Amino acid sequence: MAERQTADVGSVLRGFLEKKFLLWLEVLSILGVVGDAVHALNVTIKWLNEVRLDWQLDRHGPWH
Amino acid sequence: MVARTVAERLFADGSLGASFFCSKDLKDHCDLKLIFPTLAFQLALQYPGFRRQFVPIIQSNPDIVHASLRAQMEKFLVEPLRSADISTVIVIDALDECRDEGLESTILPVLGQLVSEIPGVKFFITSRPEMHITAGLCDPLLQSLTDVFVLHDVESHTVNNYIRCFFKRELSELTQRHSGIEGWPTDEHLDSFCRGAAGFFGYAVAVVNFIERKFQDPLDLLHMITESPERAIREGESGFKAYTGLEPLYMSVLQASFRRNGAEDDDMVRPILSAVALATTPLSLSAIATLLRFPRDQVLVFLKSIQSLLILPEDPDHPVQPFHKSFPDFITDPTCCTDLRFFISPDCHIRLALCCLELMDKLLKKNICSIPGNTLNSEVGDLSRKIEECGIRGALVDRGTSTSSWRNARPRM
Repeated sequence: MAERQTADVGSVLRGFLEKKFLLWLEVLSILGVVGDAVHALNVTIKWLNEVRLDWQLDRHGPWH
Repeated sequence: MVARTVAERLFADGSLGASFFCSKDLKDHCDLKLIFPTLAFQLALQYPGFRRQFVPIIQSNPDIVHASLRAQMEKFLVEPLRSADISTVIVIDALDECRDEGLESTILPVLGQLVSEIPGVKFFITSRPEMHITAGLCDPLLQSLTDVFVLHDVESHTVNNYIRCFFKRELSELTQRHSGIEGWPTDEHLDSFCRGAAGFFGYAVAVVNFIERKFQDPLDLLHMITESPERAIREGESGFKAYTGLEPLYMSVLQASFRRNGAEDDDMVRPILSAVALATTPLSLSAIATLLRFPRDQVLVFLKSIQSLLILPEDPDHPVQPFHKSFPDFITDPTCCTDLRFFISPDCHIRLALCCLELMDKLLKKNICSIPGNTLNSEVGDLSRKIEECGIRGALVDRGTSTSSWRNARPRM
């Protein structure tokens, strides 16, 4: 169950990074909290390393 | 509690220079880099002499807010305080609640290096005996300048007497405000509460706050408290977990609440509890409903059913918070929260992460605030109005869509 949900988060996260990431940065910038993005990305990277989801993201298409 | 009382008394006699109350629950209160700027701001308001020295220093060092803690303390506190020759007291409460991941406290050695340069200034600092704080206090420079007072070393009968007096005074006052509890507190109540407190003052404060919840029958709450089994571990006595003694009470309230509700609520319990307990920046009722895609009315009914555990404002756009900090710890710890209907397991983090990402995917759009092209934020005269109009503050920040808005900050597997 948890693995399935983890994969779901990975999939949605990938879609977010590809399609909405810059829009999110824009909102954070407008609100004057763009520095929060650094923390959020660090947390995300740490989590991806923990759950070793990177290969799943790669499997769904070109990551770079 | 101790620091708050000290600060209030110092303020009353005009000797409080500044204070900073750290809290891991509030983003601006758990950042070490905000302590010295905040203290300096308060000192500048309090002392014109400080302000005269402080303003030119800041004007000539505009980047100092981003500097090291040592540089911050020198510029924000030491130089203006020394030049203005001010004697005052500065209170820093719950230092352990600030983010500080090193083996040794980052800020305590800085104080050790610089505090001797401002002999007229005394610092009153409180903290739980976390390892990095204890290590920081062992700093040789700081040791010779510091008096450490360990609350747990106070004789137990002295503490118990204070706790008994506190219960008696507070509960006697309650009888003035509530009907049906005349004659409170009896000696049996006091004995029971003092046994439950087991020398921990925080328990006493939390219990009084709990009974004071205006929306629940105080007699019911009293019964829950006196019937709750005692806990052996108390805050500060364990290096790993902080128990307040309220945990059995939490379980009683949750179980009592959900005996009354129908089975259809089962799917809502853990998501809503996790939204309340895991949000670093507390979410409003409206935000919780939007984030989890539950009807607002149902969320309200749910929250009302456990409102003795919460600070539940009447305005649905105001944040909902646990009434005591130990509640999130309780429902995320399987050794405490043994009823799995309420236990916030790692998959709850994943669900919240999914909800955040899906909400952002739905709401984010190009030029969301309709700002003219090639314009800097600072050049948009009515930026605040545009932000309010497009609703991003409520929709994209309060609703926790920044992944940094969650306690532990990431889904744990």
